[in-house]
Amino acid sequence: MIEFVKQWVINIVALVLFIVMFEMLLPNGKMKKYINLVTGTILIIAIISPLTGLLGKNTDITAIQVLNSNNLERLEVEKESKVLEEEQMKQIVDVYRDKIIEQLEQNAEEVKGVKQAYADVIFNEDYNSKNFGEIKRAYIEIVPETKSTKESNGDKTGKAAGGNSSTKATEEESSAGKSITVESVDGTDEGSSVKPVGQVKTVNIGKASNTSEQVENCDPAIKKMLEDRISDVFGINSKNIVISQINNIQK
Amino acid sequence: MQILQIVGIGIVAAVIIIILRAQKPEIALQASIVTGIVIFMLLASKLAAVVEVLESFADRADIKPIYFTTVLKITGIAYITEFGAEVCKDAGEGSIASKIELAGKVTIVVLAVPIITSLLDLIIKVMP
Repeated sequence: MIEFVKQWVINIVALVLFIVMFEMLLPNGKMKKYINLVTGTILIIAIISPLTGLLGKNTDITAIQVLNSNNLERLEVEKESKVLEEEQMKQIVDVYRDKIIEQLEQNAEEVKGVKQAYADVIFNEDYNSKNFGEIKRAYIEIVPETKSTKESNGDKTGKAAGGNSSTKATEEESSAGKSITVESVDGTDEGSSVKPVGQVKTVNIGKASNTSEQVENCDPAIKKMLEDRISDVFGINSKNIVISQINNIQK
Repeated sequence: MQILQIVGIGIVAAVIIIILRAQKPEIALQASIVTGIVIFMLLASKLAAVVEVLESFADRADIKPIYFTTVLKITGIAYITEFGAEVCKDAGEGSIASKIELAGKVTIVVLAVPIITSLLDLIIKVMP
């Protein structure tokens, strides 16, 4: 019995000394009270834990403690894994979109009369649903070959003169196909290298707001070919393919 | 005489920072961070010795190693948090400093919870 009490007292005294030394090391800011809480708890544990042996209820406190900390870590890992899963799905969706767009552009460029194509897709991004990855809508902007550009330009100029407000400027490519002259409908600006950028913007807005008008601007033959090809390859309903045309080449 | 070294570095750095602050406040902040780190590195070896002494104390007091490591971890977190928070406060970003403190508190609580719950369990066990 006396041995037990001796051991107990030594434990407590050593622990108190330990804590006192520890407190000297502590930063004296707001964090101090949190550390005091922990050291105090440990001291109380050291005071009480021999009692369990005295009362004949020998318990393994380390086991309890490990169990608790394991439980906490398990919760944390579970939370984190959920976040990771979502992140992974997001990355998969991004890669999938890039691939689809790339394939769409490649396929569109293989159609005769299309010089360059830009694509965008809307697809089912909800990875819980059955139809995950199904393409709902595909937008394709094509840059036609130089010859057809000229034709459609003539058509477009007529329309613009007829009061089509969405087309602010028309452009004609020279036979070399390199230098671009921009002619404003307002008649104020003469072409500079900055202007075509502005025009592209207008076309993009037109695509988003009133697609039907843009589709009319597109060469019907090319449009038909593109629609057939893309609905064949990707299994999209041709109603959901929106094709528009850009007349100048984006650099 | 390491204390002279450290105090010297601190005073020189303080003077430099005061001069820099008038000219280039953004570099003054970096100088203060670097000074803090240098002082801490000078202290590191001594700190290791102190931790060793504490470890021997813990052995003698029959403290479970898991408690000891927890307490050490918490102290380290407290120091790092205070360092970051003070730097942010010096830079005039009080709100970021309080966020750093919040992060430190949360981490400390996460580390402390097992100890507190084990105390609770122990008390329940002792109850007749």
